Amino acid sequence: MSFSPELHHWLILSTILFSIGIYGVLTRRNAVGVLMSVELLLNSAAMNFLIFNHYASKPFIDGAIMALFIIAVAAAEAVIAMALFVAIFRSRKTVDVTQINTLKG
Amino acid sequence: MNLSGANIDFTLLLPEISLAICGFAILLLGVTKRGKDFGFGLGLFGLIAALAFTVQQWGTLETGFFGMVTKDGFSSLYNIIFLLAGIISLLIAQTYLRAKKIDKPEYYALVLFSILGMMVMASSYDLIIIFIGLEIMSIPLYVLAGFHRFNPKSNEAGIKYFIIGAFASGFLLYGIALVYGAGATTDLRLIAANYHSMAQQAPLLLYAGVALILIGFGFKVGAVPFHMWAPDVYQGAPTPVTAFFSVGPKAAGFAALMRILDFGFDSMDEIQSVLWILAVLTMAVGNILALFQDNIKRMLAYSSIAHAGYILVALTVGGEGAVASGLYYLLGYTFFNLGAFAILTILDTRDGTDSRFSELTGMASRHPFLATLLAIFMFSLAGFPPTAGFFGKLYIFSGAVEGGFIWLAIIGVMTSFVSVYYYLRVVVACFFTKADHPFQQVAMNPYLALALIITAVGALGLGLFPSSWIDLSRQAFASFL
Amino acid sequence: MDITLNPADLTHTIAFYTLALTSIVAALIVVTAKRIFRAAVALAVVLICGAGFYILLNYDFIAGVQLLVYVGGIVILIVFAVMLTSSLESIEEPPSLGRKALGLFSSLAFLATAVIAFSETKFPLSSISAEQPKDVAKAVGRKLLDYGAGGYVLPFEVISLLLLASVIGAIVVARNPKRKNEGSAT
Repeated sequence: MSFSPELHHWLILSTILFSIGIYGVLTRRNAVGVLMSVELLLNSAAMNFLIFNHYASKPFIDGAIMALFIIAVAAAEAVIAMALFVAIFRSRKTVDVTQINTLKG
Repeated sequence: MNLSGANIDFTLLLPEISLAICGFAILLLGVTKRGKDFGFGLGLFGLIAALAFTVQQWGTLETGFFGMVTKDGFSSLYNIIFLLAGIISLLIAQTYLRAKKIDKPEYYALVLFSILGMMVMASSYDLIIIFIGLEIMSIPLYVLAGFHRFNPKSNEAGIKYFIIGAFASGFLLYGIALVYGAGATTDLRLIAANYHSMAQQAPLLLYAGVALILIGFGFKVGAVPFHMWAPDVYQGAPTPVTAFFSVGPKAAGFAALMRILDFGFDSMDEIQSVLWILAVLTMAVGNILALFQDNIKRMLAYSSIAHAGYILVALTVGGEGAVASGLYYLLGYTFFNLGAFAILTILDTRDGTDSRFSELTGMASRHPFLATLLAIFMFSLAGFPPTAGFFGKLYIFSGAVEGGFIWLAIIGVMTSFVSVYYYLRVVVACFFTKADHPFQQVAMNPYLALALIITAVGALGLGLFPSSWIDLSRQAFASFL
Repeated sequence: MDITLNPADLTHTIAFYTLALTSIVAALIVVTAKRIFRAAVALAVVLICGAGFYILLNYDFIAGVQLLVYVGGIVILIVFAVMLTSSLESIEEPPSLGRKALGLFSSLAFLATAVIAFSETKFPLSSISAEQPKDVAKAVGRKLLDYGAGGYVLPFEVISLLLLASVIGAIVVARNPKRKNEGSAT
């Protein structure tokens, strides 16, 4: 066994980051914090594409292109999220997702 | 490598292109003072043009951009569903938006872009394109849910839908990454061709990947246990947007799921038991929780969850007959569900309404025609003959029995009996409950009437001639194999 | 145990573990920090480490994009969001025990499943000795504009629509009300 990073080490690293992101999405109260956790998820997915690209299909660059698309999508989502947060902050004066719950039967 | 592009066939993309052009035109004209009023007309024009091009493409089987985009009967039928949903929801939207003073041209452009995303999703064999289509569909939807930006409930719907949607995208992407890791490709045709060697080499990676993809789309179609967002978002979003929500993204999610599960991973038999559990949970939870709702929008949200469950039954059984019946059901659902929402939108256009059951009392005496239509849509949702809902369920459940899924069919039939109660509640409130205060008059206009006519004709027409429609859906499905 | 002391390998290994440790700690700060601004800074650290990982994987171009768009764009946007919702100074209360348990359970369940899936899979899945394209940036650029087999011109064009839709949508939702009569208050 060697300590130098192999495919497994990389994959476990990205999985740890993804799991931390899941925890954040489920526990964060501040909506901006939820957005940051989502960015962790997307970042980890993009990293997975590059890892698999590097180890499983090195001569091609499809994974790298997918990573680029993910970065673009993450940017678009962040823009929308910011707009929605500002709008709800105007009407509610809070972005605490546990307090934003007036929609009930 | 080919960078010259001399041989690109753009005619294949004409439906998408007409949507994009009309979307841009709406945005550009929206800057000028007088151009703002063109939003509705241009949006409708774009959708109808796209529908005409799609119908014209029917029966062709072509791929463009070396398989990046595929126009087959399957994608054409789905595109027709998306465009019909778009047209009907646009017809009912303008009156509502004007009444709430949020009639902005961007609304129509966003609906067009969202439908464009759905069409991209339904016409590709490549997971990357499906993902990008999903995002183009979702991002306008986040905005549309929060479009009533001075209404805290609408804001809340927007934020909730965004958080759930982004979370789902994360899972979907991670799943696609794992599938890519197992096969070094995201092309479903290559995956289907090399499935057995991939499954031998990296079985768990594939299972984990497909499971995550299933979770991602489960959120989008509102399958239990990924449904918790639906009631809140349906209730908070402006009613015409809810109408669009209940059909468009759901159909798009199923389009992608059918392509992925019934084509790409057709050989993965283990997925069937997972789908079985999902279908049973979705039908049961959707129908049972719908019983306890006082708000019609929330009730219809749970009902739309239940309907996703019926289509999941078709997906579980798999194969040509079952998937064709799922397609038929989806087409019928487009009509009768949008019809119900159209009437709800007309009612919500009045001030001070909150779409509660109690607001329906006395409707039959004041607006007998509207009340009758609402009853027809409710009967169709409940699955009474001779409506589209009845034949849809008949085909799906008989397909399940033929496929050996007898328990699934029994549970499905039982839960749809439960559903009769809450649909009839609406009818009872309309017709047989004494009103303690007079029913507030609603205003009709030609657009609303047209939307109601299209949905009523669709719901009844699909029910009166079910066999020709089911043949059409069979054709559609056969073309993608 | 086979520890080969190839100097290039050694720096590579040290860099990997340093970055990995930093990014995991920073990610934990992102999801637990009481002050949301600290979380934003920690997110920037995670993303910068991500760029470092991409360099280690020989995707320098993607690392550059990551720094420009993710760190330079998205993190700045998030900092703006923090300031506009004036939660810069506010201290977030810790999540309720139920949410914590749910979050912990879900993330650990995911981690366990994924690690089992990875450890049961026999890598490498394809020849590792294959050569990477010499100039990744060039290859990516060509592939994005390629109309031929395996080209990505269609998604490349389509994603521009995504960006347009997001910009329009953000303006619609967030712009300041000019007309007083717009929107009903209920």
